[in-house]
Amino acid sequence: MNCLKAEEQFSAYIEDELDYRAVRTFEAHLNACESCRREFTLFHESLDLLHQLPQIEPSTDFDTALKARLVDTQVESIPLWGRVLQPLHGQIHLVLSGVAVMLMMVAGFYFFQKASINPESVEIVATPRASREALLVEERRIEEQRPQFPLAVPSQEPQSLVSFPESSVFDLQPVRRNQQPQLSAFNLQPVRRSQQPQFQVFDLQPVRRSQQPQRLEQNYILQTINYTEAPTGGGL
Amino acid sequence: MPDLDDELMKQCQQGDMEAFDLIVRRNQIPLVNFIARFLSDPDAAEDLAQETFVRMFKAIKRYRSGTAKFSTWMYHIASNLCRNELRNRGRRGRFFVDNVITESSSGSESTEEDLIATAPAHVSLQPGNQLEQKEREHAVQSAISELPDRYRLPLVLRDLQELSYEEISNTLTLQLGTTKSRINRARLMLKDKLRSFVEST
Ligand SMILES: [Zn+2]
Repeated sequence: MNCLKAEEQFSAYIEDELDYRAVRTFEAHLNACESCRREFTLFHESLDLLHQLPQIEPSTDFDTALKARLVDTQVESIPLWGRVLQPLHGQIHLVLSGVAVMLMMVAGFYFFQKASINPESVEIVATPRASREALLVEERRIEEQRPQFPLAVPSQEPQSLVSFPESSVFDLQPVRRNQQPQLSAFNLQPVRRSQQPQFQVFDLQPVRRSQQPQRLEQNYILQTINYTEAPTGGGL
Repeated sequence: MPDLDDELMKQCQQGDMEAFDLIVRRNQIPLVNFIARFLSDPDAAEDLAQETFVRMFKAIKRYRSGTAKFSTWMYHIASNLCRNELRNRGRRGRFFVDNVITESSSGSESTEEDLIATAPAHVSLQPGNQLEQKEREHAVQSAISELPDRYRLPLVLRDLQELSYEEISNTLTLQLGTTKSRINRARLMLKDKLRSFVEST
């Protein structure tokens, strides 16, 4: 392994994405290469600095300002083609191809009738216009049958935004990064990788995100679950 | 794990607009932080975060549950708004690193106890610590702001917003491999930009 290759694997090593062999090769290189060792330490330290950036608080009038903007905002309806294509998805193809087959049958029948009556005046009735019209009719029919989105959105404003409760059950307190119980930015812990006890310089144990005690998301869920009565299927 | 924001969006689609309030309240801090750190501009961040919510509000009917994670959708909209913003600004006044330094780290209201309560374990709690914190934040934000957009964006999503590689590649519509290598590249650049700061401390 050369230094460039080692450098390419810094993140993968930290995030535990290397397989066993790759880990061994990587660590062997770092043990042997002082320059990469130094760079890896610096890499780790700068990442820690990044993770320690304090949280920026939105200004207190964020909600008010947003509310003002939403008052003039209307929920966009789905354009016709989107409405036809989106909710029906694959079904539309079935419907349309069904329609097409029927049209062909009708056209064929018409053709044969005409042909049998007067072979001279055979028109090949490809009926592009007729079928287009039929399709439009069909689309309209689908459109009418399609259950309307129940969303009867008040076109003016979402009422509730007008009144954010000052404090309530779901008064979500943000988890502040720097209040998290010592995520130990440098996580100076003994290296647990059993296969390389000699690798002392790198006791900078990768910060495993999954081991962090909480993430914003999870915390919010814990705090809001009562309010929404969201299905708790495994979230908690 | 059920995605609560996704559930809330479904409630919005059924006309329950209180659910949208909750979406706003749950996501405004991550969104403002994402934009502020990416643009190094907290004032623009508020504006663009609000614009993101407005876009999401408009698109309530078009939101399709289950096709992607809600957060992916939100960051996708926000990223596009940010990139537009950068394009519009062009070369003039792109970065406002000084503005982005948080109030809390300027420490006007924090007591020593607050600091003890909030400081990471390794941070020494000596006089001048607040100043150090501010300097550190400034150094890191400056370093971030010097990275090219296409590296800075996935870096912020990964290391500040804590999205998974997969979520980031969906957000930015990049291949997974590209996402990973850009993030590593971005971290390597960050390391080089922070070298003198780290070595001086
Ligand atoms: Zn090397």
